[in-house]
Order: sequence, then structure tokens, then C-alpha cells
Amino acid sequence: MTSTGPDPFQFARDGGGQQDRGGTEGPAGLADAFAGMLEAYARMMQQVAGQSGADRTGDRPAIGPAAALVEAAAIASGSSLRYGQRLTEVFARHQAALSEMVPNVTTPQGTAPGDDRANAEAVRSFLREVGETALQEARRLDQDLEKLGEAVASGAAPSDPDQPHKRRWTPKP
Amino acid sequence: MNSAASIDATSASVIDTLGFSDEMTELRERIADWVATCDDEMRDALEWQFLGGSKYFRPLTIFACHRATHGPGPIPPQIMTSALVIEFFHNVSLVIDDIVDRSPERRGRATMHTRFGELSALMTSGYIVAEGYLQLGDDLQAITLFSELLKRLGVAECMQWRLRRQPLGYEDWWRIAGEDTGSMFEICACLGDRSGRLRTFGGLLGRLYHGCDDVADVRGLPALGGGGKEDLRDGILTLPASIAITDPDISVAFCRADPSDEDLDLTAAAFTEALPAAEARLDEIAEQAREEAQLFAKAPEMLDPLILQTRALSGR
Repeated sequence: MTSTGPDPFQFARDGGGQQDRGGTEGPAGLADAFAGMLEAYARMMQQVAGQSGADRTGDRPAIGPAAALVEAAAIASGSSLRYGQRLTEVFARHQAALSEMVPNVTTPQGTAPGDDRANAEAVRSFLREVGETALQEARRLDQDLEKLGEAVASGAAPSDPDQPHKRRWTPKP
Repeated sequence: MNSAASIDATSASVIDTLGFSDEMTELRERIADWVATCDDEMRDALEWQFLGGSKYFRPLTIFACHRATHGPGPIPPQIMTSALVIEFFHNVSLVIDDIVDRSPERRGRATMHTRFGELSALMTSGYIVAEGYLQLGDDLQAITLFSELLKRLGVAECMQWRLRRQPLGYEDWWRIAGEDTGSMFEICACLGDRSGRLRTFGGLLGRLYHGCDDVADVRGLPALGGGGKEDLRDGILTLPASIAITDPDISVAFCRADPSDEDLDLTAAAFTEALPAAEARLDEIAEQAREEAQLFAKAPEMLDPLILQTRALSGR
């Protein structure tokens, strides 16, 4: 797998979000599709949590435009989930320091100068990590979509790469 | 070919591990050859600066980031020239730092301004920068990156001086280190990968280097060139300082405009006490760098030895 997100091909092989596409109509079909989405979601979460990262940036096989759109949607969903999960982790790491501030700022005496500095430091650290998390996730998404785009381009390339591309032109009179 | 500068054993071992022995030999020869062709007026100073020994860690970072992104294969001429110019610019930053810090020695040798005078040191620095840009030729991407580097190093030096003797904290240190050594390694990563993917990795590696330098200074280690006493006297916000001055008493002594010997002793002791916390911070930064490498490098194993070598510089 080359994406930094979940592998949609695996979902497809497992009969994930794309199952019964166009095969079932009406409310039952919608329910099936919804269930399929939930299953895909669950697998995606497992993969997001379990991916090693060692194989994230290699070259990927060619892919058609339609399949690429499906994969792009899966990559984007995985990215959103991962971002949310990592934000939660950041908040959990800083929760104790941030919640300590609340009683201090609500007391009539206010805060001591030393506390002000410590509080400012805690807030800055938290905000920096939130920003870093957003930036890193955006870069991961950008990288995954770029690779997907390259795979689409490679799929659309001429089938006989050995044949030299000749540009037809004639000199202007 | 002229005699090239020596490389210390640790650096040589990492260069070997990463498989860049030939490239590093070529780089050292190019530096020596260039020095030999320089104007007589400058040559002694340039030989003193360039042929006295170097870790070549910045060129190594460029080579490693190139391989980590583009895979195995020979190092292209453009990347080799970038490595040459980063070594030029790094030496310029050392010469200027030594003048600003009034340092008589670096790694046990007289600094350029001590040996040749300030005028010569300043003019030689300009000479090196001009040669650097000349070497880059039509590599516009590298020219842009080197210009960014020089500007950021200038800003960082001013910011670090303006923020001295102030009751700041780790977040301020993070910002200073990111603009100072961080910018140097950010640019090395960009020069190597040529895509910007490893920029953040480079920034983290630079911060790690900066922090290890700060900690090694407190330990009195000569590994990175010293400077601990100057930083203490000038009230520079080092990593251990940023942790130690959360104590109000230490903060007062640290911020005093004209610190007494007792103030300096007190802060020095507090910095030593802050070392375990500083080491923990360095571990966090190293881990972040590793994560960046895993996420954005095709061959992250090329970057691990850089992180390990840098992390070891704190002398833990």
C-alpha cells in the first residue's frame, strides 16, 4: 500500500463501501449501502490505527480515473478521521495543564506572575501542537493525493511507451 | 589537488554508514581546490577556516535527504554543488558568530578574527558568500533557498540577542532554535530533496542539533565548539535555561543586566539540574523527526543515522 491512509482496494476486495452498487434499489439498498459504509468506516479506523508508515511513500501502480475518485474519497475520509483522532490526542496530552488554569483565573485574587508565565507557556505549547497537527495532516493528504494523481497519469499514458512520441509540425513559411 | 580537511571519527563513521564516503571525498577536494585558486590576500584565512577540520554534517544532511527522497544512485552535480555551498555558508555563519560572541577559540583553534583580525574575517565572509552564489550558477531553486537561509540566519541572530536576559520559556526557545540552526537544516533538507517534503524534518533535526549543543555546553563538552560560558554571561535563552528559569529565583538571576559571580554560579547550577528535563525534550524532538521521516521520506532509513548522530551530541 502506498497511501498514508486506508487502502480502498482492500475495502473493495473485502466488499466494503462499494458493495451492491446499483444492484439494490430503494430503502433496503440505502440501508445496505449505509451498512457497507459503516463497515468500511470500521475497517478504515482499524487501518488508520494500525498502519506502520514504512510503506507510505513508495511508487504505486497505475489506476483509472473513476477508481481514483473512489480512492480520493477514501483518502480524504481517512485523513479527516486521523486528524480528529490526533487532535483528541493533543488535547488529552494538554488537558491537565489547561484545566489547572481554570480555578486560578476564576479566583478573586487572580493569578500570580509566575502562574501567568506558566499558563501562557502551556497555552502556547497546546496551540503550537494543534497547528503542527493540522499542517502535518494537510501535508500527508497532499502527498497522498499527489501520488494518486501520478498513478492516474501513469494509467492514462500511451500503452506502448517504447514508441517515440512524434510531434507533427511543419516549419512556418 | 590540494590537501583536504580532516573529518572526525564519529562523522566519518556516519558518512560510511550512509554510503557517502566518495561524495564526501569529492566535496573536500572541491573545497581544497577552490581555496587554492583564491586571491592571495584571502588564501591564508580561507585555509585556516576550511582546511582545519569539519564534521561536514550539513553536506551529509543534503546527501541523505536526496537519497531518502530519490532513492539510490549517484549524487547529481547540482546536489554536490549545493553541498559545497552549504559548507561555505555554514563557515560564514561560524565566522560571524565568533565575531559577535567575541570567541577567541572554536574547537581548540583560534577563530578567524582572532588570528587574522576582524576586518579580514568580515571581508573573507563576504568573499565566501559571493563565491557561493557564483558556484550555484543557474540553479535558481538553490539560489532562492540559500537567500532564504542567509536572511533567516540574520533575523535569528538579531532575535536571539533581543530576547536575551528575559523571563521566557521553552516555546520561545523552540522559535529561536527553529530560526537559527533549524533554518540551516531546513534548507539542507530542501536542497537535498528538492520538493520541500523534508523541510519539516530538517527543521526538527536543526532544533535537535541546537538543543544538543545547548545541553553539551552545560556539560562542558567541546563536541560542538563550546560557547556555554558566553551564552551564560550574555543571558542567551538556551534549552536548559528555558527550563531552569521557570523557577522565579533563577529567573531573576538570569535576567539581571550585570550578573554577579554568584548569579552566574546559581544559574549554572540550575541549568545543570535542568539537564534531565532538557534531555526529555530532546527525545521528544528526535521522535518527531523520526515520525516526519517515516511519513514523508521514501527511504526513511537514510535519515535515522542523522537523527541518532545528532541526538548523541548532547553527551548523555
